[in-house]
Amino acid sequence: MTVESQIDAAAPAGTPRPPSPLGEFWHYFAQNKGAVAGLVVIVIVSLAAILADLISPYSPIEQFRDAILQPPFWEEGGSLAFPLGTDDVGRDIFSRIIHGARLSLLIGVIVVTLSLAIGVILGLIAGFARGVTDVAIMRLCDIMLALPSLLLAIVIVAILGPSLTNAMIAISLVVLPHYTRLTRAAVITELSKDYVVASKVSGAGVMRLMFITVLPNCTAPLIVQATLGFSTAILDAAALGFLGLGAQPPTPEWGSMLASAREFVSRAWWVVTFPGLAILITVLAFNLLGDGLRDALDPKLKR
Amino acid sequence: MPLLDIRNLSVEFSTRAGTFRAVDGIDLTVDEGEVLGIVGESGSGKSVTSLAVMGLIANNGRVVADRMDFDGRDLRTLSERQRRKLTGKDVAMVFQEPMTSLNPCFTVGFQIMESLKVHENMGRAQRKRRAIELLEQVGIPAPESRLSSFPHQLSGGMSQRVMIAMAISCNPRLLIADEPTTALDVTIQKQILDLLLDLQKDRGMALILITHDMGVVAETARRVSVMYAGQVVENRPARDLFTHPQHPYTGALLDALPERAIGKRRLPTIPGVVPGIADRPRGCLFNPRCGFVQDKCRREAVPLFPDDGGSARCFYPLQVTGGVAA
Amino acid sequence: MFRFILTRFSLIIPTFIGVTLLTFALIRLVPGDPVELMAGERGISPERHAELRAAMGLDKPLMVQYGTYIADVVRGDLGQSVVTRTPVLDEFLTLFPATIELSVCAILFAMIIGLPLGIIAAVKRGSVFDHSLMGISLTGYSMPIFWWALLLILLFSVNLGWTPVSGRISVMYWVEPVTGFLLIDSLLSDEAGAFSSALSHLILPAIVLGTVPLAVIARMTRSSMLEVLGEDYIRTARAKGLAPFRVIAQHALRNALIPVVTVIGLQVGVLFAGAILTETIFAWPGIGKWLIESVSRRDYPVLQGGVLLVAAVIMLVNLLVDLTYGILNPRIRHGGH
Repeated sequence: MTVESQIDAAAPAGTPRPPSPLGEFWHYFAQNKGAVAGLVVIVIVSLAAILADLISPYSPIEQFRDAILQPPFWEEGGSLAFPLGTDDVGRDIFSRIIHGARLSLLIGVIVVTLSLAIGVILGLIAGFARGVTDVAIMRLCDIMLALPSLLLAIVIVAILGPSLTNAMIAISLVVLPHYTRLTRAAVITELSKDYVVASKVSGAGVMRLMFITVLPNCTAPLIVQATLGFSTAILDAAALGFLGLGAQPPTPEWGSMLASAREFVSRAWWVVTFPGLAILITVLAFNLLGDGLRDALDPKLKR
Repeated sequence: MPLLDIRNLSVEFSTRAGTFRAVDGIDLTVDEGEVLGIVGESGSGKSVTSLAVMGLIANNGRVVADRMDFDGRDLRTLSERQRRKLTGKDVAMVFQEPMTSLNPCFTVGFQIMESLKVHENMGRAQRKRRAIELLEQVGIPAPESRLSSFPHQLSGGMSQRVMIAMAISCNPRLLIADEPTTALDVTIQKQILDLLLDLQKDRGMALILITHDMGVVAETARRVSVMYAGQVVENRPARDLFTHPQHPYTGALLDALPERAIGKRRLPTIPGVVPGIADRPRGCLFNPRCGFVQDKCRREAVPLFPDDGGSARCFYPLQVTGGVAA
Repeated sequence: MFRFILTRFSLIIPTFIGVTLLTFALIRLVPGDPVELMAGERGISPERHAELRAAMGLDKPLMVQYGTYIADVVRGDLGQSVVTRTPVLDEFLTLFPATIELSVCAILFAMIIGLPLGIIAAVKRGSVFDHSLMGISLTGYSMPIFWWALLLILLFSVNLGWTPVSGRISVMYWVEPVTGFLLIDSLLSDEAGAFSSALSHLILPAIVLGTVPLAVIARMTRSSMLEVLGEDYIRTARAKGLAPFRVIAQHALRNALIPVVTVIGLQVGVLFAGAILTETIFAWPGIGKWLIESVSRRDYPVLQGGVLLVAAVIMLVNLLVDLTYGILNPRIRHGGH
């Protein structure tokens, strides 16, 4: 006999099987059209990023000296050879944007992973240790949150020196307190609950309590925060790139593309428009997804 | 001519899951200076009925009635503006949750004087004098100093007194009290109920007292309507209702009164809950929970049968000896 | 109320001390020799180096150095710019009004548009208006404002020629700085046309800087309003026979504003981050542009002092927001529970 048929036999006839947690989650999530649209966009952008070398017609740094500032194909003087036109040194904007997607998503992944990992561990420590350790960690968070995130990132880049890697480190540090606060708050609520007490009484060690008993119960807000963290990371990295403190030319990063396009605002609208549009669409997609996840995971909104 | 005359009132709400009929063809009449009790469990449509009378049904609700007259004026044909002139002035309401029914951002005085400002042509000083008077009437000590209190500084009983002061501020001819004592401590409940009845007697206003507590009705109302799942299942003068209930639901509610259960091993309860949007039964709406259910009850919808002194929505009304009062 | 202010104030002191630690560390962490960085001289002789080092107290233990730094900060001495040789505090005070003017106009723009839109969306919940407003506001929230600025310049300055591209006022005018706010100063001066020049320079930057706060305020107002509209006291207000407008504008709004004010207060940090980008793009002579330039010029005393001052301002504004919150919410003002 298979397991499934045993379950069937056990269940009273006619009662629908309760939906699996994942199925239930998808049910709520799929009701939110914006969130689904965001997910679709993210999948497309991710595919473009992964397959960048196959999709993009040219190398992002290849310069076509006879096609400088060529407009997109539907404008007069444009051609399908450069569908979104070329920039001031004759690079294909379409190829640069596709490769930029790769960078932006990479930035998102690295920043979120780094800040999530460190932030959660600090939050767990603060929540479990309480006392002086807790105060020290939370004070540190307060200090970091007292400064505008971009300013703090600029200070950190000023210390480390401008580069894409340092920009990612700076942004990770800046967003980290959010995860710490979130985890700590969740840990403190969870710790007072009976199941944790039970687990403690039955002799679970601190590590086990932290990662196996408590952490899985605060994943929902962390997932939402991490999704929204992608959009912050992409936006801040682009801002730093725009200010010349992030990715350096000729890296096809969207923000630094905009920085070098600034002086052509009046002559070639396309060099300014498309990289920014790419940032906006990607960030919007992550925000839509984050909102949708929040609604689908928030038990308060469930019936 | 009755003060309030309602025939075949229905209130429907459109929700995502479909249309839900919260009130299903009820008739209500209230005479000038009369106390009418409306009894039923949570979800029986009592509150929705009163909100419909007040004209406070939200946008997703639809109110239909064959007749809906207040003091000879057809409420259905009034414009919203005309309707608002009645609401809060001639018809006023006291709600169940005094602690959340007062606006936390405004002082007690402001909230009382607001009705006066809207409905009565009074100057500032006059309004203040009247507000102090009202607070005195509802038994709030040191009323002058209370005017500048904020709701969070008041206890539940105090808040309900303020709500009552607000409701009677423009001398309403009909006061609807929707479970006015449910959220309060037992000791306070009696005080508030007595206050309401005193005010009703002194001012000769009509009072609709909505409650799920048969005991409260026994002490106060002259006539009682029992509601179940949006329908009126029994109408009767209070005295007869308690001695000769005809509908099994009324009987069961009475049996659930603690003072009637003296000598029994346990307090009788009514199994199950009031049907909601998804589980309305065929036939009599009470049939799944009824101890005297017959086949006919499961098949046919029951009209309200008049009898001497009242009416009951039952094919097989209880006899006096029908296992209830015994 | 006084105790409330005092507790709030005592809470920000440790945070401020933490920020001084950060700025104190900053100049010792940036690449390069601190002596040369602070003196603004490169390639100096060893004797001069030792002399300066002793003069700046860099030979003393770190704790002593920090003590000296704090003492200087308290006296208002934040060092001097290695480029212009003027005290950092003076430069800050000269440029600060420009940033305030821009930020205040941006937040006013965001509030004047965001609050009513949020209220209407809540009242007409589920309508086409509601859905489109929420879509637009999420787009605004996701906006890379440096790109948004370029687009607006492209449209309004380049194509339509309505607004100037950069600066605070046309070079034709010279306005006596009285308050530091050009909108006010230009009205006080005799120069005809100065005010409209200042205004036309301000519009685009203010819109750019106000975009994200506008989106946040509209969304927050909507959700806060929706919550309040379902409260029992709104039913009470309607049961009094009040007109719908009065119920919404007085009873609901007053309660709904409490969380919105907090959110507006939290926008101060966002606003400042935005000001860095906006000022850089529009060549707006304010604090944001000053700080970015200090990084590229390696003018670290300016960065150090500027960061400390910005942090202090933001903390003060947050304190003010907390106090406003107390005024709006009687439960806090009266210390009740």
